[in-house]
Amino acid sequence: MKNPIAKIFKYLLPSLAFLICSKVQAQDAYEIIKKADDKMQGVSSKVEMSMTIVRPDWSREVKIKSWAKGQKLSLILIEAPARDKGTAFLKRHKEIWNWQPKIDRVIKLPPSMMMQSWMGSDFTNDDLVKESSIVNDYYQKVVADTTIQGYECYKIEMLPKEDAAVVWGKIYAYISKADYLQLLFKYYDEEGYLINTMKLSDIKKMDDRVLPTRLEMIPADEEGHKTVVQYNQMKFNINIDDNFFSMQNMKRIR
Amino acid sequence: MSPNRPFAVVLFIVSILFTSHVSAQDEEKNWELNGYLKTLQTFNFISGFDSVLFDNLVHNRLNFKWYVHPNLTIYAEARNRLFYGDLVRAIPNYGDIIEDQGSFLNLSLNIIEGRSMILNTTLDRFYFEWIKDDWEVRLGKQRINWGVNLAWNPNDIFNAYSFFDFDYEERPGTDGIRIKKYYGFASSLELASNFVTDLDDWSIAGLWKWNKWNYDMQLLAGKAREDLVLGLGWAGNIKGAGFKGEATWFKPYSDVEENNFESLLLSMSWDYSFKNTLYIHGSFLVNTGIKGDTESFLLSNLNFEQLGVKELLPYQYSIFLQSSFSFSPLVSGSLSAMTFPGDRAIFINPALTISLEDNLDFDAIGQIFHSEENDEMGATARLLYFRLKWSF
Repeated sequence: MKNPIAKIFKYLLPSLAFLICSKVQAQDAYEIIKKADDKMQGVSSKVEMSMTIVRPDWSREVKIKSWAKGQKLSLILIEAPARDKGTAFLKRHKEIWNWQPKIDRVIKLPPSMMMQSWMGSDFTNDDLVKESSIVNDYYQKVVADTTIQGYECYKIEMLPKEDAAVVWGKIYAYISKADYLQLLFKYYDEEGYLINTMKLSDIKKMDDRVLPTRLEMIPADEEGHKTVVQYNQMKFNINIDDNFFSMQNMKRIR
Repeated sequence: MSPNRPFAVVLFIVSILFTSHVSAQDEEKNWELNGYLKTLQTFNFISGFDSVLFDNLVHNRLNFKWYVHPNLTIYAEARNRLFYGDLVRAIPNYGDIIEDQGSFLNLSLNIIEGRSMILNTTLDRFYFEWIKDDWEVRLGKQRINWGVNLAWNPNDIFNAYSFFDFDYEERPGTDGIRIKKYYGFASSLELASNFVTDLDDWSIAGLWKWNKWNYDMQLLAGKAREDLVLGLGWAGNIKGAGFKGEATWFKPYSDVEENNFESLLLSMSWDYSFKNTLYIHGSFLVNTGIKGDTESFLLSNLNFEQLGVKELLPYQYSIFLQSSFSFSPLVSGSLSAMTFPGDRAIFINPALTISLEDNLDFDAIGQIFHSEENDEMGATARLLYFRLKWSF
């Protein structure tokens, strides 16, 4: 290592870090969440999944394909049910459009629609297009060690930053220590009541990584209600241009 | 027998054959077929009569896409409709109203035309789409949608649709050619023209779309039927609410005739979704030149497809209010009202949709129209619809 500045980084920074160990704790939690989040996202991704809304006496299934690049660009194509097949959603930064092929029409959606349940599920539109970020919109802190589904986990408390436009008052995230697998999330409202629990399971190799492929979102106060997402195919860090996320492509994609 | 009849018969048979093979689709195919089968029961409560007119419509739609080549796709979409009931019997030329005879490519045919029953098959989309890089050319019977606003679309100069014609969810198309070039993620230039035999029916116009300050914006100019047109439209947001609008100025290019008029159409809309799924929407439409009368409007309810965007409503001022709410993921309801302040008329439209199975939906829809303009009795229409729809 010839560069003296690099030497400073290599030797001096770790010792500085030792001195400010109280910060390290917070930094660790941030890193854990970031690694776990990166694992599920990648710089860019293509995902095929099905979502099933389960209620005590019925269920409905939706199938989608989605493409994403970072937090800002995403494209979602509905494959089932038959009624909605071909309908697409494009998100670029804060703008969202909906493509209705049967009437050859793009409809710009108002931002207020983001907090609505997505196609009647226990997920909001926001969950789907990831308007808010567990990495950037919260302060993270490791509060305990525990075991979930046989994996040793960190229990991380996440409190929203003052200026973040988020819906939750608090989130507990359970991340496996070995592989940074997201295994359990508990979402609380501003009064501290548990609203939703998300369980992640079916850990499998998808593309270049091992991760949970089944998500269950369970509302706390509704017996027998849940929404299950099953990932059928995932590709990460695909070569995808920003121009892929365009009006033109929203209409053509299949 | 019209020259299209053998064609239509073959089409109808092929359609039916395809429907029976839908389940046999495989992954690697270069074609797609989907559609629906629905039944619509109409109860028409005529004012001044004690009886109710009862009509039924069985409606099958087939959407066929053939990916002929990476750059070329052929689209063919057919609607097969079986009408029977009191109105079919009461109106002598009902078959002529159903059969589309106005378009250049006449692909509509009444296969059966009985005293109280009509079976019609219509190809309402039939076009070639050629795509190369940022270029897109569509040739044939297609929908050229230029509207960006909710409820009313003064910019939709090629194929106007009416809010009252709720059962035609695909909306009418146009025979023509559309050449489009995309720039960037939201900008494009378009040139479209319909195919006609009479110069007075000819529409040709250009559209420029772009996105700036988080707004979709557009300008259009050209000729629409007997008018020169100039229009603009936008879609954006104000504090979480959608804010959209369209304006088009129609100027007759020859001396103003009895059945044409100069007019400026302006419509704006606001909509907002609450977290509990309550959705609200308000729109207005101003049509400065219209001098329509309600009576002929009520009759024209039967067939909107001949109307231009300028004549969709016979009123100068129209206001539209809509709200909808999901009682559960399976049940949603909506209530809409249209009022025409200058003419003391109102239209009320309650609707309830229930998802019975993954691909089976049931709707109950009411349409009440009341006007006090024409005479002391007023003109009233009350309709109730039940619809069952299976999508595949």
